[in-house]
This record gives sequence, structure tokens and C-alpha cells, in this order.
Amino acid sequence: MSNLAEQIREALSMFARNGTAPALIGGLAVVAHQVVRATKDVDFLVEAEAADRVHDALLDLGYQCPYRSEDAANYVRAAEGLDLLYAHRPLARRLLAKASERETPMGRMRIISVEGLIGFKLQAFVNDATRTRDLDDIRALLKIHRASLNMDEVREYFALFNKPELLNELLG
Amino acid sequence: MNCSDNTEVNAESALNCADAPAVLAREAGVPFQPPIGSVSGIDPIAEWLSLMEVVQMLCPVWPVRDKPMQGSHWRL
Repeated sequence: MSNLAEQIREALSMFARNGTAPALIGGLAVVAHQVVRATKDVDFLVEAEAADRVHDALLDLGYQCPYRSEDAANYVRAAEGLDLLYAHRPLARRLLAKASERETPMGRMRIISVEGLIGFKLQAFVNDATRTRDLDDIRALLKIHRASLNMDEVREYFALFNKPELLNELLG
Repeated sequence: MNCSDNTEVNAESALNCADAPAVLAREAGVPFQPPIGSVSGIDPIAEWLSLMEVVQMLCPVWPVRDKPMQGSHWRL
């Protein structure tokens, strides 16, 4: 198994030991939703109440934490990175609660819904407009899952970030 | 079928590869879309692991995030 897979397996084990069940978000969640591309983004949505104990556990695993806020945290360990978003608002809590569980080569893990993933990708882009990769991911997810997407929910996220016209652009 | 297998190449396999643009796209490192549903038997995460093995061989040092998450629009 690759170092990347081992890193994820180790993280899943750590989450289980700490009694929390995060959901995969970010680039790897995009992969899980059928858009296979190269990424080393290991991002999880974690319940905010678990932030401190997960932080301590990651430091015990040798990670350093260059940034942490009430919304997100970045961890690095040599060439490995791991990012957390904290679910403390109702929308994120709802998305975390309804994440689906899936068997993967690294073990069972929960994965955010396509609609929720689009919402988080949009949030990342709004926070940093240089992250055009996020727009590419949203465009690909919309294209693949258009027939099954809850478009009302997707529109809700674009309205939340005052970007309703962007959704129309991405839908082409 | 894995079109990149270093096995006997014949006209039939070449034709099959030509008929499987998604697989060829994957082999080129280009994002591709496995068929949706369990019928295909393709696990996108397993495909990603396979892709990343090649990527890591070609690019052993992958830059980690060089700046912290930023922005003030945390609404989810």
C-alpha cells in the first residue's frame, strides 16, 4: 500500500480511537464521487466538539499544525498534509450527519454527499479565488451527477455565497 | 482491461484499447469518469490509488499546502 494510503488508513484509525466519525471532503471526496484525478489532498469534515482531541492525536502522530481556527486547521508531517474543517454550523452538521459510509482500500470511511461537496468546494473558492481547481471540480461533479443531484440544495449553497450566476455559468 | 499491461500486444487488444477512451485517458494521467453504478465494478478510489502510484513515481516530492487556509467566508 502506498504512503498516501497508509496515511489515510492511519488517520481513520486515529479518528476511530478518538470516537469521532468524520466525513471525507476535498479532492479525495471528488475522486470518491467518480472524478478520478491526481490529488494528495486529505481533507476531513470533523464535528467541532472533537477538534481538541483530534488536534492532540494528530500532534502525537507527528504532525505539526501551522494554522488552526474555529473553522479549519492545517496539519503537515514532512511531505504529508492533512486538513480539517470543523462542523459547528447547522449546514455542516447536517452534511456530516448524512455522509454515507463506504468500504475503501484504506478501510471504511464516510464521504460527504455530492451536493455538500459542491458547497464546500464553492466555499473554498470564495475564500481564495486563486483556487480555480475547485471550480473545475464543481463543473465535473455537476456534469457527471446532474441527473441525480438535488439542484435545490446546490442552488442553496450558491445563494449562500451570493454566487447564483456562477452556478449558471458552471452548468454551461 | 488494463491497456497499459506490458503483455502480448495484438490487433484485437489494440482495437479494444481504441474502443476504451476512458481507460486510455486514465493511463495518460488525465481525469476520467468511471461509469456510475456498481455494474462497472470500477472503484474510483482504487483507481485513484493506482494513478497516484504512478504520479508519485514521476513526482516524488509533491508540494504540501504552502499557505494556510484563508478567507472570511465560512458559511457552511
